[in-house]
Amino acid sequence: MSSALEKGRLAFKEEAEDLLKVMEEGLLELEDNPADEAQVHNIFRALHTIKGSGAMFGFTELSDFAHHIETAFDQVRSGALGVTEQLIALGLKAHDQIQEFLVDEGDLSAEGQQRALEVDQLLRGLMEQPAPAPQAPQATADPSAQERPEAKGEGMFWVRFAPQEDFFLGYKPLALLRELKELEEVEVFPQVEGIPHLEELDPEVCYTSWEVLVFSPQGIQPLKDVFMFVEQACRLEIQPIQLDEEQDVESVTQLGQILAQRGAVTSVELEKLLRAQPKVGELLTQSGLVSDLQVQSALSEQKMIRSKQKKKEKERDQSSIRVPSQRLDALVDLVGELTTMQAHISQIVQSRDDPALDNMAEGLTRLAAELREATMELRMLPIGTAYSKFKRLVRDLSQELGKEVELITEGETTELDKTLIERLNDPLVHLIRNAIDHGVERPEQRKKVGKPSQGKVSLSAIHSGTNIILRVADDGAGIHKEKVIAKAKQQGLIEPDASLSDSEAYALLFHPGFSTAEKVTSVSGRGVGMDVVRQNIESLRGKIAVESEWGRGTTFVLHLPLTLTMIEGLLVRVADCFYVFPLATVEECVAIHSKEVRSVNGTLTIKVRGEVLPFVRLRNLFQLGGEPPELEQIVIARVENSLVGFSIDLVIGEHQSVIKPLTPTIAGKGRFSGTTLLGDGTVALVLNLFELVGV
Amino acid sequence: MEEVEVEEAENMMDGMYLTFALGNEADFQVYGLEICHVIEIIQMQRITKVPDVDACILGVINLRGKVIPVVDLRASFIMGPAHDQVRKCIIVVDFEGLETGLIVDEMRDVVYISEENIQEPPATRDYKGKNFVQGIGKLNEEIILLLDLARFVVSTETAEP
Repeated sequence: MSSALEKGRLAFKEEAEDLLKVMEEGLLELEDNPADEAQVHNIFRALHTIKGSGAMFGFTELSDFAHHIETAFDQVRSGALGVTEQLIALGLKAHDQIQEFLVDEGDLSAEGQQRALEVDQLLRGLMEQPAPAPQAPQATADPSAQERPEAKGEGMFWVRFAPQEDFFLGYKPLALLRELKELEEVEVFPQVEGIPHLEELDPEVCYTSWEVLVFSPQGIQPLKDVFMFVEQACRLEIQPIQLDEEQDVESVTQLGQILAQRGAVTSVELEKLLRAQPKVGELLTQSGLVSDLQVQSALSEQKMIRSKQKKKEKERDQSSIRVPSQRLDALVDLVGELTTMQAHISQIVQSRDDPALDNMAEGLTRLAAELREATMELRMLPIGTAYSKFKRLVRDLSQELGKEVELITEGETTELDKTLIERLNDPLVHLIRNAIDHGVERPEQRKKVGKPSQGKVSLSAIHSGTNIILRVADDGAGIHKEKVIAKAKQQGLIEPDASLSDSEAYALLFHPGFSTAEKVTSVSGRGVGMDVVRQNIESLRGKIAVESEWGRGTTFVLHLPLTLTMIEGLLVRVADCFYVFPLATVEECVAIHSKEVRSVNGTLTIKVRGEVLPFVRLRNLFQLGGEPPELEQIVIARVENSLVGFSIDLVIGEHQSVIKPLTPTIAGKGRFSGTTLLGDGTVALVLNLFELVGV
Repeated sequence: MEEVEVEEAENMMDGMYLTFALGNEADFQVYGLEICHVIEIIQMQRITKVPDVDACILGVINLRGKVIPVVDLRASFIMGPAHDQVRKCIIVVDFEGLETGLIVDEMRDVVYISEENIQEPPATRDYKGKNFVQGIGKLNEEIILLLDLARFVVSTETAEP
């Protein structure tokens, strides 16, 4: 009995965490856009659920507390209460309070209870205020909210683009269409009735016009931008298409209506036909009112609208199954073992020369690869899940420090391994704090140097091969290189007469105990941190770098692998040892005669197609003994931004490497990021090229 | 129920030592390991060298899919290489969650040594600054050096204060 209740409580806590996230996001959204009624509803629903389930699982205090704030938002819903700064601040406080309730399982400390009481009092005070009768945001919200959803939010648009005859003089219609295609979803219907017979055709004249269906997540503006420079030279219509959520999928915009809306037929004509027969499309074509193509395009629109609608419904249903992450980890481990086993089987089968076995082994290989991919995908989460937390952080910090900062996020949908996201949290929090505390200047200061008083901190994530690149950038003061150097000299980190390049100077920031902040704030300045950030990132097999321009801002660039457990590798042999290069770093493999290796100031170099590359013999580096063969096999890999040649004995081939971490006893100098097992059970070492060449 | 069993099992293992020898037939020394740390004994197998690590760590082996480091006890005690390779084997131990293989010259036995037969190691004798021995056991007039696993398993860097 008790364990069933315990399970229920646990499930409630997990659910409540999600709901709180919805609430927080809603509040922050509302702060930017107080007229956003949808958010008010979201917040209200979240609170309502928290209250209800909380009471069910014995979180009575929590439930009581949530009740009051819920009431407040109910009043906002009905228009009795306006969305004010005060309300949002209180809402956020209440959010934190509920979180505290959850963590403490309802048993609040005395201070916690005091705080809860305070929030409660404030809430009551807020609600008792005479409702400002024609509340400003509420009153103005309605018409504008009605008119503008497609201007701001996502939407479908129907674009009719009819260039003038001389359009080819100076413009390329295809380039424009291609540009349109870069928006999320596009379907293009060329209208070619205007094209004359070949003998009459003038190649200089543009006869074609286009109808384009676009689904644009950013609204109409990006569409308009595409055609910005050709407006004079064409006829352009852009019409939003209403996606009415309440409507049933099937009854969505009838084909005839679509054509009528576009002005291809009049409603009267349509009406006549409709009364006669059901198949509107055919009839319209037959009657010669519209061309086949026009009907085709309208049909597509109908389809697209339906699929969009379905997608929306799907998104609503897409709520997931909760699985403890340990189970996922266990699955990944098992798949790893399976991969190793499968490689072993393939190896044995190859030596048997049995076609039937060959086939099966091949099938197994394919299945294992698919299974591996599917399993890895299970662990992938969009990084956006972490972003919302940062939004709150930026809000709170900028208030605390008296700065105006806006957080801009990009690449929310970029997916990466769950563990990575979790382990990235601390370093990112630190970088954002730094950006706000040290980077962005105070509003007065910013105005003085001619910047807008509101600073920007941006957070972006993009994929690049098997890596992900995260950027934390601010448009603040930037890093004062001389100051960094002076401080480093003062702290004895570098020689008093040392002269450093930009990147060398910035590297000092990651030195343990280094800080240029003149005063220590509660936020940062103690000099612990940047070195910890670097360690964190490196422990994830990543790299961190700084770019900065004095007066313009600072950008921290983080390179990280997509996943920690598996990589595509290139397996090589040196003496009797096996090593794996991450395949993403490998540019090419070449062979070079030993005589072609040159020594420049003690550094070995080789020349590949006229380019001089630094050259490392793994045999010597790892002290494996023996002599390299006369014709040396070279793997050319990209490290940082430069190419380096690594001499090895034999390239064996691509290898799906399940990475097993090295225990601390054998972690050595970090030149290996882990080990992996070959088909026959031999252990190969996975190279960490960054450490290997000592950049 | 279960907990009681585990406790009993632990009690039963108290005072039990796995013994092995380092050296050759004419000149050898017997060592002992608390049996609760021992997972299994396996044959010598192919060892993958890992550059950069302490000299007494020979490399890593693949233990049914797990990659674990192996320590050469001879190198730890600064003994020369053994003449006889035949009886060599690897004792896999678990110390605070870290699995490690120890290469020994010859397996002996599992023995019981009562507490009164174990002496503190002499404080004056320090093996090259690392005190590998946690006690000296006596069994039928034979001296058994009882090893302190922490010195081998935890990396030398972290073990030093």
